[in-house]
Amino acid sequence: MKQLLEQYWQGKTTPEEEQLLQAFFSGESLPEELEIYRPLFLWKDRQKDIRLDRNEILAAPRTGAGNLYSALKVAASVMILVTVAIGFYTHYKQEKFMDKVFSETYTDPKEAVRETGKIVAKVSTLLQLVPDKLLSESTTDSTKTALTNDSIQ
Amino acid sequence: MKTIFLSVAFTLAASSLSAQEVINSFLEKYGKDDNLEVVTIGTKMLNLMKSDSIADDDLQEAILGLENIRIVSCKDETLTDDYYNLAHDLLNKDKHFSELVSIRDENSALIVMVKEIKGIVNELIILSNHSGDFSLIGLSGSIKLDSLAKYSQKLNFKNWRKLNSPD
Repeated sequence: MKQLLEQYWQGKTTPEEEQLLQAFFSGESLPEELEIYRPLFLWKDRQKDIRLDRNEILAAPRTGAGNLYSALKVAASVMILVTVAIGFYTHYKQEKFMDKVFSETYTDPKEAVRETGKIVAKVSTLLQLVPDKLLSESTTDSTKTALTNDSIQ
Repeated sequence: MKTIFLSVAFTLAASSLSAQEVINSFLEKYGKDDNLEVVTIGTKMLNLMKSDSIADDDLQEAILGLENIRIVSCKDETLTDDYYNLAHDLLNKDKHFSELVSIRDENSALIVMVKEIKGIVNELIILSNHSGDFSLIGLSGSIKLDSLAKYSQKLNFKNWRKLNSPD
């Protein structure tokens, strides 16, 4: 066995011989001078028996940094969802408001004609105060000035 | 390159915003107030008036080219001054508007303004505040000011004829 051990240190042992050495050092009683090598061969044995369970991997506690990152991801997702929901709601309310304000007030054309007539008459009366020249010319070229209360009087 | 693109995009957006009708801008800001009443006579109704001859010829001629008429009013005396000033500010911000008529005395104020682009009057606004009665009238479309002005003359002439007819 000492010779075999010597060969092991030189890296000249076959796999079968290494197994023999392992079996020998796994035994209960060893010569005192060889006792110091037991942990080395037993360590190799123990490494073979280690198997990580998939569940153990998944259940392994996360580190502090990992927990924070996950929390931030969740918070960001929630914020995006909330923002989008608020956006849709605001847009919907605005659409409803605009429909209410800008939809036709009159459904009866006769009523609409009556109201239109009143408005146009009012506008027309006010436009009577403006000189004819200004009503027919483009204002970009004209030298018009606005009529004020004083000039009318 | 990116800066130029963003600048162009921003300018286009800004110019498109400025093209919005004044009444639309006013209503977007204050239309949700319960104190304001809004009356809208839109394109659909105006076209109906023109096509079905429900309106008389003079009115049809006056509204030719109009796309919509909106009236915003408020009868709450405590608020009319504020609304008048807010509307006036909006009008002043739009550089395309020019004043046609302006009347002011102790209890009332009235302004008639038009927006003209490339020789076409697109918008006519009458803003008035008379004895606690605020109104903002907006006409938009392709407005013929002379046709509008003649309407009341024709109306007065018809009324005069009616009054003076032998029947």
